[in-house]
Amino acid sequence: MTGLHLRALQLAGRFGPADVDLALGTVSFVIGPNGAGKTSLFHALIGHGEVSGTLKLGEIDLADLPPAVRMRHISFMPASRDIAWPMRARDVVALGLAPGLAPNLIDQVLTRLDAVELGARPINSLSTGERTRILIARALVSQPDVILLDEPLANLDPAWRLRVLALLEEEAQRGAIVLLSVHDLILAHHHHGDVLLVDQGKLIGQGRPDVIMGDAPLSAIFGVRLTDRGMELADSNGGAA
Amino acid sequence: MRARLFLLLALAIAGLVSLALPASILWPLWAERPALFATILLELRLPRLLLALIFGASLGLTGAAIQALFANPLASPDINGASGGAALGAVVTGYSLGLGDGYALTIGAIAGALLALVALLLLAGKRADSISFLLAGVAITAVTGAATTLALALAPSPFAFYDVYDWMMGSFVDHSLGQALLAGAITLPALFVIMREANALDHLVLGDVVAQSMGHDVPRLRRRIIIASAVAIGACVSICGAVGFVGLVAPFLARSLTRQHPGRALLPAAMIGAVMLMCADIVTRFAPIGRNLPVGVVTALIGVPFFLWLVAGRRWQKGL
Repeated sequence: MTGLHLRALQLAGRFGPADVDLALGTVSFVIGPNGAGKTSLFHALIGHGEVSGTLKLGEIDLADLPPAVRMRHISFMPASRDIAWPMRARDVVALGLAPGLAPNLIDQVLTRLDAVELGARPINSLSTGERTRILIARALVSQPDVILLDEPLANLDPAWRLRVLALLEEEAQRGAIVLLSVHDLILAHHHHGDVLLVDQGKLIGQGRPDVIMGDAPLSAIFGVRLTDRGMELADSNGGAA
Repeated sequence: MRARLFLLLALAIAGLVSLALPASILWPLWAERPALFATILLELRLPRLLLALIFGASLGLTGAAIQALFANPLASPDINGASGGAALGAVVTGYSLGLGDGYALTIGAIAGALLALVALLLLAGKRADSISFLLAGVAITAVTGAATTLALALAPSPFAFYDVYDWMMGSFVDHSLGQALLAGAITLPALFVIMREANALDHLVLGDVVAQSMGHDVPRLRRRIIIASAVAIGACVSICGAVGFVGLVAPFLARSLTRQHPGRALLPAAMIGAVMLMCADIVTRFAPIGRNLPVGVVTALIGVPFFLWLVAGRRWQKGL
């Protein structure tokens, strides 16, 4: 098994076609402005909607695996934090446990997210940030090979953002492929792994941040530029023009 | 597990009571006229018991499945128009098309229920908020009600309204064992199809996209649940009429037994629905009106306050 390989992956009218290779044991960021197609890329990856192209994990075709097998290979956490039923948080995490796996994985992952006590509470009584941690735990519990997270850092306080990033690095160290979308360009710019830049339903590029996130694409796509102090609007007269 | 044993026990007791009551008519015959005793038991009370069991289980199970599918506890065949659609289908088949045969009525009712559920999906959307859901249900129920009245008004038979009145409010009286077995033969496979999706419906708690990411074919799941529900509801309504609120209340109670897992609640919801309808049917036998009370009246009298409590609870929860 070498990694995750997408060939001509396309979500009709929304994203692609794109070819992407993600190596085992890596954390990659997806960046792009609002409506660029970050979520559509995730939907294409998990086969939600009219998806064409191929998606292989090594030699395994991920498209037609039964749930019990597929849940060990791939997991996805959507940007929405809403759960319709007032289930206990621990039961929500348990929904992500693939059949045949030991229930103590639930306790392990809750411990890693410091959420053992949250587990006893109804999911709809948690704050958005707490619910985010529970949903991240749900995505990690079966220790899948591919972990896809849409905006996992939104709603988290600064310390938890760093802790979750560290957790995802741990997942990569056990060999998982982690792909997450982020809005924070400064965070993405400091990332040591790959960045995937998405705009207008197309994959613009994949590579190290200093290659992908040059001044020209950032100002053309996001309308901003990175500065020593942080970030500013590209069309503002910061004395640089 | 203990809850399920308790439900099984409740089912058995309700079944025995349903066969036995009213005892004053039946028991004297046991010693004096055993043949008549057996006839009453097998041809009057057993079909009644079986129909209440089948209809109650169908309402509970399809209610639980539709609620899980739409992620909304207010979704149920009684409120979303499926029962009304089934009634319209049966009336149109029976009076407008003139096909009074039991099979034709059943097929008509299934088609009507299916149309109503598809209309609901189109009007309310896949994961509707409560307001869109109720509005769509009100619209569908109003349209099917008006269309049913129109079909009856245009019917060639001058007795159409009178004939249909008793049936519409729901009754398990005066049905043969053959009708009960037919209802069972049609609904049980449909209920089985739904039962097999319990795990997928639990995963659907996390949303359509996550369920898809876990390897469930969500569009196919949606089609299966809707078609199987229409078959079960249509078959029951064509024989026993439209009985309300069991499909709303039973799943709600069932989820409290399964820590709010909507998929795991399917079987308990079926059992609770069956117990509820059997009990409601027993109550109808003791109404002091000199004739049988339609069972739909009993379920509505119990169900409407519950429904209001559910709606009000959601409103207060959201601070509206």
